[in-house]
This record gives sequence, structure tokens and C-alpha cells, in this order.
Amino acid sequence: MKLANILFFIFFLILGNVSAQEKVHDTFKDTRVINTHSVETLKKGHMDIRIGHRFGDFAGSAGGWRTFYGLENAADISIGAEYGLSDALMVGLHRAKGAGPLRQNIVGLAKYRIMQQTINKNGFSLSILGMASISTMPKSLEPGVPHFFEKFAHRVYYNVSFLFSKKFSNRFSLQAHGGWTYRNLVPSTDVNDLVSAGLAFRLQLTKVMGLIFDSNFGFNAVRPPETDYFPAIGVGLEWDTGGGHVFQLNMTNARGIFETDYIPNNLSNWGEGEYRLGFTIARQFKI
Amino acid sequence: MKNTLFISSFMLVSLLLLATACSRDKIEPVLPGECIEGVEYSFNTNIKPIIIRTCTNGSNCHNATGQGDYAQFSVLSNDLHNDANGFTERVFELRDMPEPTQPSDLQLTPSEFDKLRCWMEEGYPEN
Repeated sequence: MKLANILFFIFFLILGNVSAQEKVHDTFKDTRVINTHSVETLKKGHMDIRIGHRFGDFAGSAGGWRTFYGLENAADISIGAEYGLSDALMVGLHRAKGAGPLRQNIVGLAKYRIMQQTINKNGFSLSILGMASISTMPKSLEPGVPHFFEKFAHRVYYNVSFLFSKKFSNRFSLQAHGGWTYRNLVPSTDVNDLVSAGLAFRLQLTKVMGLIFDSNFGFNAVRPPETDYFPAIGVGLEWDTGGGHVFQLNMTNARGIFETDYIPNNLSNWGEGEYRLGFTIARQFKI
Repeated sequence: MKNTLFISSFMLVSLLLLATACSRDKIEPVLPGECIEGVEYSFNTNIKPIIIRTCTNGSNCHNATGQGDYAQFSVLSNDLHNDANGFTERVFELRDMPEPTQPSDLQLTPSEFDKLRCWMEEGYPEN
């Protein structure tokens, strides 16, 4: 009881301080860094229409001139909308081609900003992201494959991520993130739970252009470096073209766009030329 | 009011989804089937449709504009004869062809895998 009282006291103390402090805005320009969600949420009443495209392998056996450096293939494509229910809570719904064993995915997500960095007190911002991906691909007639779909649950992957970020200056922001991805059905040699973590940053290069980087490493017994699974690492440029329009051009070894796809399923290796060009167009409307 | 209704519906749908869509399962490997004596597979009847779905049209790799058109018996049998492109090793030993990055419906099913294996054991006849 005594502990509960102390916790309540600390909570209200923090809450009081937060409301009294000047908040630090625009840690990142967008709700994503590249693939990874940033700590940012949409403002209340804002709708964000997003189109993401990741091309095929730039180099390696599937890239090069034959596929015009991957531009004639599509690793993943997503289209969807997100909406700010409040300044701290946003929801989204997307359709994604998918890049793992399960395709034709419907992805629903919600992100809540738990804490926002303030000028004097709060040293960092914290958001939590929840995501579910449901495959709508046709069921296989034969067992022994991921899309046999014996139960509806086998179509679903989940991800929960915690995003911590700090804006060090008007030019540089850093984010550390950690997550848990759950797949209801996995091959017999894999595990259902997958814990991951990574770093991301944004460096403002000019008034409108920034350098962005994100990374995600999976941690468990079936993701050691000698397996065919690789950490998803991306680098890119981001333009804030004004009026709520953000354009990203990126190069990443992740084939999938969403956490439920590129964290558990990334078989592409930078070292073998299996990286790709990609872009994301995001346009916000106030409705 | 509109927002409250939206949030409540969203939370309800999410909770229902979470409650109904959770399991902790593994794909049970299907053991390789025996090649039955007297049952013969031919390229044109049994194998070509598998090759077209998983190698040529579906994955868009081993077709006329790609790495040799495996829908043509002469091309595939030549590669098998010369063990070119590592067909046997990648399909039957490493199991990484079709590439794991291809979706589930472009992968070989267990029965297709057996058909291919038995056809190879029979000396990959065309008809």
C-alpha cells in the first residue's frame, strides 16, 4: 500500500512537471524512420496517406542489369492510411504485398506516445506501438506449408515495440527501440517469439533534407549470424517538402515494410548485394 | 463523440482479434513419401506444371528472359545432366530453391517435392 502511494505520488509529480514544461517537437519528421516506426505520432485530426515501395535486389544474383538494379521487381508495396485520434494516440490500416512466407497482408496498428521530451525535465520521448498483420492469401490444399492455415490464427503475426528517442539538437535525433514479434505458426526449427532491438537516427543535412538510418537485430537461438537471417539495416534521405508532405528515398536490405514482416523474415544480406532502393510518400491532411 | 465511438470500436475489434487469433504452433514436417514402383512421372504430364508455377511464371526467374527456360524440357534436362545451376543440391539438399524469399504459394508443396524427387530417380523422362 505504501509502495502504491509512493508510485502514485511519483506519477503525478511527473505528470505535473510534464504539463509545466515546454515540449520538444519534431524529434523525427515522420512517423517512420525508414521502416522502423519513430517515436512521433500524428496530431489530432490529421490523416496520413502513405505509399511505400521497396524494389528488388540492387545487386547479387537477382539484381544488376538484368532487372535494372532491382527496379523491375517489387519486394514489397504498401498503401494505407493513419489517423491521429489525439495528439498522443494514432491508428492505421494498411494493405501490404508482404515479403515473407505470408502475403496479401492487412496490417492494423496503434501507437501511443507515453512521454514526450521536454526542454528541462524529460530527457527523452517514449512511445509504444502495437501491430497485427493478417494474411489474406489463399489457403494451400496441402499441409506442411505456412499457408495451409489450419486455423485463422495462423494467418496472424503480431508486433509490440517500445520506442525511446532523444532530440539532441535541431540537427540530430537518436532513437533506441526494442520489440517482441509473435508468430502463431512457425517452421518446426523456428520459435514463435522473437525479441528484437535496434537504433535509428536522423541528421539534418540542409534546411529540407535529412539523413536517416535504422536498424533491427533479432535475438534468439535461431538468429545467430551463421544462419540465413540477417539484421535489417537501412539508410536514406528524407525531404520535408512542406505542407505535411514527406518523401523518403532509402536503401535497405529489408524486403518487407512492416515490423511483422522484416523482423522475423529478413533473409537478405547487404554483403551479397541483396539491398534495394525504396521510397515512401507520406501526405498529411487535416480532416 | 465521434472519436470516442471510433476508439471504442477499434479497441473492441483489437481485443476480439487478440482473443481469437492466438496460438503457439509449429509446422509439422511432412515426411518424404516413398517412390512407388510402377508409378511413373513424366516431364510433360507431372513436372512441367510444377516448374511453371514455382520456377518460370511464378517467380519469374528461370524463364526465357531469365536464367534458362526450365519450362523447356531440353533446357532443364541439359542442366540436370550437367548438374548446372546446382539444381539437385539447391532443391533437394539445401532446400533453398525456390528461394525462401518467395511467398508460400510459390514454394514446392511436400507432394510436389516427392514428385520431383521420384521423377529424378526415374532418370527425368520427358514423356
